[in-house]
Amino acid sequence: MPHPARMNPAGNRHAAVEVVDLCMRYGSITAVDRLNFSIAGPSTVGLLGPNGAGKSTVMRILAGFRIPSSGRAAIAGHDLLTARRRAQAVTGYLPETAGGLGRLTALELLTGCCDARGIRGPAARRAIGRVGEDLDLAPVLGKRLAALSKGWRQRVWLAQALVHDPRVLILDEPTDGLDPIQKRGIRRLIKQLAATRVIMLSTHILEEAEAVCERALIIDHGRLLADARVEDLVDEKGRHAPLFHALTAAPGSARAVR
Amino acid sequence: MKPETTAAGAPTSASGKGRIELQHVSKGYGEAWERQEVVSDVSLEIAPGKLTAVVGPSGCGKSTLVNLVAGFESPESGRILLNGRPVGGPSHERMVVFQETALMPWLTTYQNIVFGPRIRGDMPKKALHEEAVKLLDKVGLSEFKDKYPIQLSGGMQRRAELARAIINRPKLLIMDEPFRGLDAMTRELMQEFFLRLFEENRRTNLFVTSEIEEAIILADHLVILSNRPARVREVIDIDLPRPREFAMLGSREAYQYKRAALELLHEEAMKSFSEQQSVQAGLIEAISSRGS
Repeated sequence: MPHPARMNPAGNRHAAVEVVDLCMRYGSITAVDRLNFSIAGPSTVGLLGPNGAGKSTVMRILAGFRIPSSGRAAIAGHDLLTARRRAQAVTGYLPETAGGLGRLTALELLTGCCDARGIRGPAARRAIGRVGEDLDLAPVLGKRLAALSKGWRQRVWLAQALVHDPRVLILDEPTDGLDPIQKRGIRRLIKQLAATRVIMLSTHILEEAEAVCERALIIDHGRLLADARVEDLVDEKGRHAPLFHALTAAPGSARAVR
Repeated sequence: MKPETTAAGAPTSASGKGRIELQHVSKGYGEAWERQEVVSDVSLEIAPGKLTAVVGPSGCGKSTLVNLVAGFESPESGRILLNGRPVGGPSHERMVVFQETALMPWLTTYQNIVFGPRIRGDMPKKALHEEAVKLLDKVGLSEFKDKYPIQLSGGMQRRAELARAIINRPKLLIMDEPFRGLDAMTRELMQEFFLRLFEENRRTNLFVTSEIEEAIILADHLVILSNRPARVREVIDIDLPRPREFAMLGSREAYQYKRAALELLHEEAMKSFSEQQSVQAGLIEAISSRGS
């Protein structure tokens, strides 16, 4: 059953992200299995699970990249099936495999993304100026993407997701493949961005969720195992997460933290 | 079916014919005691107009090798040359890495393909349009040019990405596990499609994969990497005639290539496995001695 419309702290009538009975099947494989969750107002929510748990599929559906087999998903009340363009207009998306377009400079990529979003001329310059400042991109704006380190490239792709000042950010494995210092940098940025936005990020690293998220949705085999506050997933020493490991090992124990 | 043999001298064109040489290339990460070498003394020539496939045990350093050749990272020692000139300067813009990348979900197929050159403005509008139309036809997406990625199948998305990569006419195309994540049927269709595309243009290609049969059917040279740190364990020349057909995988030659490759990879994988075992054994010992 769909959740009733609710007021969130920002005063918007619709939940920022709403997922109802979402299913995705590829032939005989069920990648997402009757998933339900809702994110009301500004917060950072982690979608956690081992590799192949179905995280990317969920993120791709939310980004308007994939049509679910059944069920529905909506961003700020815009259904991704019937009002995809409107949903995408209020969503910033960092793909798991952000890359390609290495011949473009960072500035060119951002200009192109503004253009594609209908932001042109002085408005585009303002938008790029804003994200450039927020993400400290000045040193790399004129450089080709192929010549940047992975950490910088990811930063530029993150900027790409922000040029239209979206209410919702969908970040698919935002620190995957980065070295520890680069990871810290991106996590710091995510925390900054979270103040005014709804951020949903997927990760297979528990530490990442601990570092930036308030809430964790744990999935495996496409099913929601737990929807919990992140602090509940960490033990008193803050180093281990026996509950998390127990959850991913034994789906039946999910009820423990609901 | 009897495949024709084409002469080694493939069609010529100005682009796509880069020659890459790796000379004693090494790369590692970390400082002092925690330093780990990832690529060790790799020397390799990627011949113009040929497809060189690279396979190795998982985690052996293939991706680092790709990053080095693409110029994303610099070697600590040794050098990488493109047409005789060191990579690292502006020359690496002539290489395109194609991996599982992402189309912009809010752009159509056509808009995605022309995105880069259009923003750069480095191709006259008319020429760009014509090139895009030609490429759309080549990748079989003419009818889908105004569709959004969500309206394409996984294989179609991958072909659109491929078109977006080669519209830049790179001297070298680096494919980093390009068909990963596709279902078996789509993967085979993509391999067949890519084979035709390669044989038509003979763009110098470095193809990284973990599928041996994929490597054998596509490649002119098959480079087997060792367990980490990656060294060149062996280069097997694949002398199957072109144009290649999938049925050739059933041939005696293909079987022998496969067996040779698998044997080497198995050996390397076992080395990695026994190292892990000994690390584990060491840890257990350390922990239990501390506890007593």
